[in-house]
Amino acid sequence: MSASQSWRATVGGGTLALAAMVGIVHGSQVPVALDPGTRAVVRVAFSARPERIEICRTLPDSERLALPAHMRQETACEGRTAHYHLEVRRDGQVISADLLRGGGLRSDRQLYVFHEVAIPRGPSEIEVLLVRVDSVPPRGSAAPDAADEARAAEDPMRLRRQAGEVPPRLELRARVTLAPREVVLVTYDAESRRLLAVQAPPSP
Amino acid sequence: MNAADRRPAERAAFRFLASFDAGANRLYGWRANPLYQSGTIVVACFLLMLLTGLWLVLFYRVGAPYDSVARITGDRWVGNWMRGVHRYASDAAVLATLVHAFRMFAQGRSWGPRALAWVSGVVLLGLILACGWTGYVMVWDTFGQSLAREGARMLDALPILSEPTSRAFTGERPLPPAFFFLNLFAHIGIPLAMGIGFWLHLSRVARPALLPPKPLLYGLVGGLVLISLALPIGMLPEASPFHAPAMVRLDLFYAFWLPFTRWLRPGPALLLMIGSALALLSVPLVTRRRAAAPPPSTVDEDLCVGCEQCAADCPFEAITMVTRPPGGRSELVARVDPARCVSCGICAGSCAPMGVGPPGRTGRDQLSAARAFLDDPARRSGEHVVICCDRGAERWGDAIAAEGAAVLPVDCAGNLHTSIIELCVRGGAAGVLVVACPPRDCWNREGPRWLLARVYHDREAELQARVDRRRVRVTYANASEATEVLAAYRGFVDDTRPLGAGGADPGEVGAECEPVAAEEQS
Ligand code: HEM
Ligand code: SF4
Ligand code: SF4
Repeated sequence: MSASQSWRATVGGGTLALAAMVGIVHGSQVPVALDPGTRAVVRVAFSARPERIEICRTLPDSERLALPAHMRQETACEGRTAHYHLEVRRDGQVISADLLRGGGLRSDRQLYVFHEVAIPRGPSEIEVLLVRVDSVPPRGSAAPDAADEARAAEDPMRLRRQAGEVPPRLELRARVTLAPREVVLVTYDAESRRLLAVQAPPSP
Repeated sequence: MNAADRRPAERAAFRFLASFDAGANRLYGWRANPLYQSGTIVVACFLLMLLTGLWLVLFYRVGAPYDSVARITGDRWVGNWMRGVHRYASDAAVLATLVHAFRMFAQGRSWGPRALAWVSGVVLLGLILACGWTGYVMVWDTFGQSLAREGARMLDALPILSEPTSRAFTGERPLPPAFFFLNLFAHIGIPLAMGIGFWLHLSRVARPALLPPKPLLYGLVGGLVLISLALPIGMLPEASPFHAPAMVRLDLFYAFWLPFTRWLRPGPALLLMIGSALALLSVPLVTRRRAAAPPPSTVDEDLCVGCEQCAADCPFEAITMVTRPPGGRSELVARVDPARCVSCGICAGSCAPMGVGPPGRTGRDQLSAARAFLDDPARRSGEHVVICCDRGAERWGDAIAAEGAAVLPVDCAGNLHTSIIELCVRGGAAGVLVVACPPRDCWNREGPRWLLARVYHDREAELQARVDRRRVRVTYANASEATEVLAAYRGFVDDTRPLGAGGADPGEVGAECEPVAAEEQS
């Protein structure tokens, strides 16, 4: 390689290496604009235990005796978790709606809600409605009679479980005034079994 | 491996790679060509990440992640550039890994016994990305939060977890220190797992090159420090559940997938990611040569004298020496493990008595092919012979033949038995120019290195002393360096001109390399 060629290679190689380094630095922090720009956000995010819909019936003796001794109970219950309809409105207009079912492969785990909707900044009235949509008996089960239902409803285990489940209907209405990109978070408080709207604590 | 055996995608990738390699050779020379050193650059980046990471972890607080990183970043003279080097070295590691993987693909080094290196490489790539993910989450700025949220949303698309992980990132309460402790644990634990992966990755290569040559290593470290000082790293706003960021600055090397989860729903984005990983993992199946797979090397035990040279030279540790049954011609005999042999043919050039090599490519096979080449009526005494690999011959063979050279293509110049060079010189060639790939570019890892040692440094199976070294030259060029090859050829012709035409004396060549007839063996 001649002297001028080697000089050119040194300058070219150095410049390319520098460009690669600068490229790495820029590639490492590419600005990406995210929605919602200058709008505000309603974020409905919570998890809650869905109600379990159970159909219980008294077992006739013939069926009960066919069971192993340790499984001979008077009532047999079958069931699945309820589905819910979620609706978010702003100033009376529906801005988001969804059919919710429990998590997991058999939908028997917690309900998980995550909805983000951009809304205009400024004052808004936000309404969130969560309603159980089904109480359909599981397929193949016999229709329960009123006495069975009443007995099952008094079962202490069932009562305890129900206390942890999301009620069949929840409603929240909140007036908020939001700055651009400010988030109002709608969440579920399992203790009070209510929906709550939470905003950023005022900065000190 | 013959160039014609390769899939069209590999051939296209190879052309692309070779032209970039040629450009980089012009700028940096083959010794410091960073494209040749992509694997070792990744290792160097890891060492840098380890050093700077050890320093950073001293000041990181799981109880106040954002504030502690902000404090580190605010320290203009140490903390800031330490963080910069840690971050940019991780980015460079991903970039170099991609170049390395592309290189292996383009060179057809992805199947057969190399499948283990390929698959472990893909796992290593996944682990690097996962490690970067945890690293950015550690900072807990708006970017870290986006990564956590979108990553968790994708994970939740798999209906396997009872409580969706996203739940952790969408509440109004701050994340507990336990989360950041676990995240830090993963950030440190993943590199440890990578150590095991790396051991597997290299388990089938002998003498792996681990670090780039010094000029490149110093250039890389210096460059990363310099750029971290010159362009100090900043802080994005702290993650908050109550403020949606207008924009984030995302690291393209680690978060290239982030826009997909936003544009697509998390489920399809996850499918896309799993699909890409499966596609990468299946490359060894797609690229393997079905019918045309070159067979592994075999040993002719009647010829092997137990010198151990092939075992020492094999770049894939595929040859071991085993004890021969008593009464054999040597105590030890070479044995090839077909499961490790990639059929590179390097051993064919290592064995003076020509007792080992892939079928059809042993020293003896090369010798008969060279005899046929020299016996061709088109040959003229006093010609210059250029021995090069098929890939080179395909690209610039005609151009060099047009200059008057007799071109003898071989599978790989690193397989070349030195008796072929001797045969050509003593057969009347004015000179023999062997064009090998630059050493770090060798598809068979160590071909040019051993070739050079045999020709110039008396490594076993050496070019015999009686061969006039002035008529022999080894030069390096890749398939895209036609200009360089022509210049090297012309220079060689000029240098050998004063020596006159070579003397024809082919009869005795290879005598000591010829097989000892069975009846002569005691
Ligand atoms: C953490 C990332 C990685 C590191 C540090 C790394 C490093 C290395 C090193 C040092 C070698 C030995 C090179 C030599 O001395 O010849 C090697 C070989 C190899 N690498 Fe990687 N590598 C990484 C990722 C990958 C990936 C992602 C792939 C492909 C998907 C890959 C495929 C291969 C193959 C096939 C070989 C064997 C080459 C041969 O047998 O000829 N590597 N790697
Ligand atoms: S180089 Fe040849 S002679 Fe030496 S051990 Fe290997 S096969 Fe045997
Ligand atoms: S061809 Fe020879 S040198 Fe190459 S891997 Fe097989 S045994 Fe080793």
